[in-house]
Amino acid sequence: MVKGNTAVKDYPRSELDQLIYLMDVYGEEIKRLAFTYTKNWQQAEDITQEIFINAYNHLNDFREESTIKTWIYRIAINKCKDYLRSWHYTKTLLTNTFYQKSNSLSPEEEYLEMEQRQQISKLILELPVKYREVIILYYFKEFSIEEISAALDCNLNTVKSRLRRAKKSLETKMAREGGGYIG
Amino acid sequence: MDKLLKDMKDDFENYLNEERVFTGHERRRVINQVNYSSTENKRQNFFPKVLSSVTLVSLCVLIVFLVLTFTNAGEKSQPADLHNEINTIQKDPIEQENPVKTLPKYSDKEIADKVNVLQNQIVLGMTEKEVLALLGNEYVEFDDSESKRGAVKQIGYNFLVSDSTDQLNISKETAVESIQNREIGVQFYVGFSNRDEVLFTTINFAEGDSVLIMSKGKNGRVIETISSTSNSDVIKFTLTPEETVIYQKFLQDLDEKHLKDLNPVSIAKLYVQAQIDKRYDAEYALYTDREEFVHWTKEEHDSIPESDQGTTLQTLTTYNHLEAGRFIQDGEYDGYIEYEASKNADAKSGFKMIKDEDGIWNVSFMPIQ
Repeated sequence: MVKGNTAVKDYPRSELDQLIYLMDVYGEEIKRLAFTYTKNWQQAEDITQEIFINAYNHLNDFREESTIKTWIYRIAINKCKDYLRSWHYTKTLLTNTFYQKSNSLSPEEEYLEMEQRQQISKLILELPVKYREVIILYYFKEFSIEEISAALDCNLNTVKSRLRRAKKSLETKMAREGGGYIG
Repeated sequence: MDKLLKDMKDDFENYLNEERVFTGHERRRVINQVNYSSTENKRQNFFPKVLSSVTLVSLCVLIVFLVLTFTNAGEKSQPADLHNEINTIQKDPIEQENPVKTLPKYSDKEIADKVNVLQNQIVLGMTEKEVLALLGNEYVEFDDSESKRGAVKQIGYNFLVSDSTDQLNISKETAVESIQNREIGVQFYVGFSNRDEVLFTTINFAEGDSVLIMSKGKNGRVIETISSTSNSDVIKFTLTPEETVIYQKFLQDLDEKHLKDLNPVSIAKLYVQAQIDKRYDAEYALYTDREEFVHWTKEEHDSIPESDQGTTLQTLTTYNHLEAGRFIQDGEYDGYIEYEASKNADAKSGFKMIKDEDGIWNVSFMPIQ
């Protein structure tokens, strides 16, 4: 199985084959990443499509100093942030926001919702983007600090300080929710 | 915390969705799109080549034709040729008898810019002389002493008209059709008190298929839309006189102390008004400044392009009936306004608010998320 840090030179030669390869390896995780920004599956689907088309159009720009994983994540993060700045995200009503979801849960679902890890997942998605993305990349996508720095195009110290603040902010939110999960 | 987060990778992914989310169908869509783009590119590359070849051949034929004509003209100058020439010249005066009367219609951007300028230039309390100095003398005056708005007269302007005969074709009624067709870009009315001071302004313009009527005065602010489709909701957004006074003060220094006596719904309304007025500095100032809830900086806010700011109609539609909403506090400093943006919507809408450390309710970033 091909690992995430495999360079593009090991990829199939045809550009279309490379695209198919990228989608097979990263399609699932890129769409999930997009969702953590948009919190809307329909938008995540549209953005994922744009990400892969963009990647296809820029396959020749790929430089081997970064891994293909960092490269595709960087494209994805930039696309998602473009979306966050748009009217659609900041001003329009979304159909499956967590805000509305919580209103329609059954008692059993409410109970499950209170389970610690689900609750933390929910709180992570409520963090401001700059904190949310470093937590997700570092803990759930298993990026190193250096890889996050490359994907977000910011320096190592900024990543470290955001990660620290993100955890602090998450702890504060968890304490407010009555969790007391300090670990 | 580190260990907890590291251990919950799968829980987080399951929380997002337990099933696979990137389907074969989506994969095919991308491939189709890419294949389609490649075909289009090939066509785009093919046609310029064909066109340039055709142009080159035409140019050669033209040169040969001109050389032959020039040679013939030098060799023989017959009366018949002169007659033809006279006939050609005779056509010109006939064409000039029908000069183009209308200008091209103004674009929606030009209309929006004009609305913005008028909104900022003409403020309540200005004298008539100051208004005329800014807007010029091409207006129509109406007696307004019978109206309930307290003005003794009002003057009306038509701006950005495509046909010059519409310049002074102004009545008190909104010229809905002409505005919708962009024959009149902006209708602007100013009401004056018996002391010749501006008491109210009304501005009518089109956005999409709708006509927006925005009035502001000492009795508050009202925005209404007239839609070309009769079955759509009538959208109306108002600020009360008290909210209007506070809004004006807040715009001047963006100091939250002006908001301390306002309830959360009124503060949310000021946020909507700031969006409509394109006062993005005021919009940002109304966001919470609790650090853990700040999503982007003022600089990032200022750099949002105008194209991503949305239109007035989008803003009005999104926050329709917000003023009739009910504020629900659901935490020490969390709350939301429950409102019904559209009767056809499946669920009620929520507008999130955060109480800042100074005790004043502010707008949550992305309030309807």
